[in-house]
Formats: sequence, C-alpha cells, structure tokens
Amino acid sequence: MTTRPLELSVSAEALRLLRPWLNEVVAGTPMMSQIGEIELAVHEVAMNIIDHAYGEQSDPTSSFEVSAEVAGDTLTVRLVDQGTEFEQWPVAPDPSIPQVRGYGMMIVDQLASTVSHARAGTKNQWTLTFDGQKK
Amino acid sequence: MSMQSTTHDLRVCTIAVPGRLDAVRAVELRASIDEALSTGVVRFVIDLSGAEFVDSAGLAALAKGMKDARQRGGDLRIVRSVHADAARVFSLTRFDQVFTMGDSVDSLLGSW
Repeated sequence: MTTRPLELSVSAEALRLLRPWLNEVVAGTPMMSQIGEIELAVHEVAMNIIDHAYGEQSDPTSSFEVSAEVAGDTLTVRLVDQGTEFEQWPVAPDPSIPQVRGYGMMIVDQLASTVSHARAGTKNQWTLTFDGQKK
Repeated sequence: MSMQSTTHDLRVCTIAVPGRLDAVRAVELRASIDEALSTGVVRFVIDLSGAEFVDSAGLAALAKGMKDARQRGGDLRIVRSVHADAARVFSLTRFDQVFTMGDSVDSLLGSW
C-alpha cells in the first residue's frame, strides 16, 4: 500500500506534518504500535537533511520529498533531497561526555530495522525500513 | 563553641515543556535557560512530564543547558516524561545516565 508522498519545506516547523502523514501511512497495519518510533526516526533523518544537505544556504522555497509504502509487515520510508551530498556517517557521541550534536543518526540507527543512503545524480536518497514483527 | 546556623535560599528555575520538545521548541528552551543564567540562576529543573515528543535538537538544548549550569556550579535536572515515546529518547542515547532525573518537580527541588 502506498500513500501519497509528502512534500516538506526545509524548515523545522514543517516536520510537524510528519506525524499525521505517518498515521495515515500505517493505519490498519502492524506498524501502528510503533508509530512513535517511526516518527522519531523519520524526523531525525529529515532534520539531518535540513541541517546538512541544505544548511544555512537553504533557499526558503527548497523542499524535499518523503514517500512510504507498506508491503506485508514491512514499512519502507524514503526521503529524497537535492541538497549537498551526504558524505560521512556521523560518529556516535560518547554519552558520558555531554555534547550538543550528533545524536540524531544514533537514534535512527536504533529505531529503524535498516537505514541506508545513496547518491543518485544530484539527489540524496535515504531509505528506512521498519519491521512490523519486531515486537 | 557555639553553633552557627545559616539559611540558604537556593534559586531554582523550573521550566515546563509540555507537548513537543523539537528543534523549534529547543530554541525557545535555550533562550529561557540563557535568560535565567544571565540573572545568576544556575539550578534548573526542566519538567518534561507532559512532553510527548523529544528529538535530538531538544536533547542538545538540554545538554548545552546542563553544561552551562555545571560550569557555573549548578546543574540542570529533568522530570521524566510519562509518555513512552519521549522517555525512550533518553535511554536510546543513554542520556538517562548523564542527567539527574526524577519523577516530579518537588523531588528534584528536594535534591538540592
């Protein structure tokens, strides 16, 4: 089952649209019980896109797309942006040393069943999967 | 030798963050903490009991506030969220072992 893609402007406020859209995506599927984890993981990848792919050079009219499909017990979420190429997976911070950045992808790694990134032409493509049978 | 008694009034800033502590609210939280720090307050209780969503930007604001408070001899302590989604972020990042956390504002005020 595929839900209409979500077009998000490059702003933190826009990410508040993710939850209602994801609610629609997982309605009636086993992933409903994981909606909080799914939202956080997708939110963090989207924040990474805003912070790193677009950064401060962001054109206020820039946007990126989030799409999703449910096949069997697996939810696949894709995020596609046309920002700067993602080059390096952030190193997970040492939690014993409080620091202010770097936790986003650490959270994604733990919440999603799989997470991957590919560069296709001028686009970054993130793919997250969530297994509905995980719990 | 006579006993000496001194009463200390500790100033503590409590900030409640219901709903979402995301990148948007994190900016507001940092501004509130910075304002209190500028008046000499170094002890903070951030009440997240009603927070339903906390992201990495929210965590970053809390971590920065804690560093700033501790550098001044104070601390920033956190009331746990009753919502599983918000509470989970702290265990995923092991921030629950970094912050002093409690179940109510009163319990944390009493910890000083």
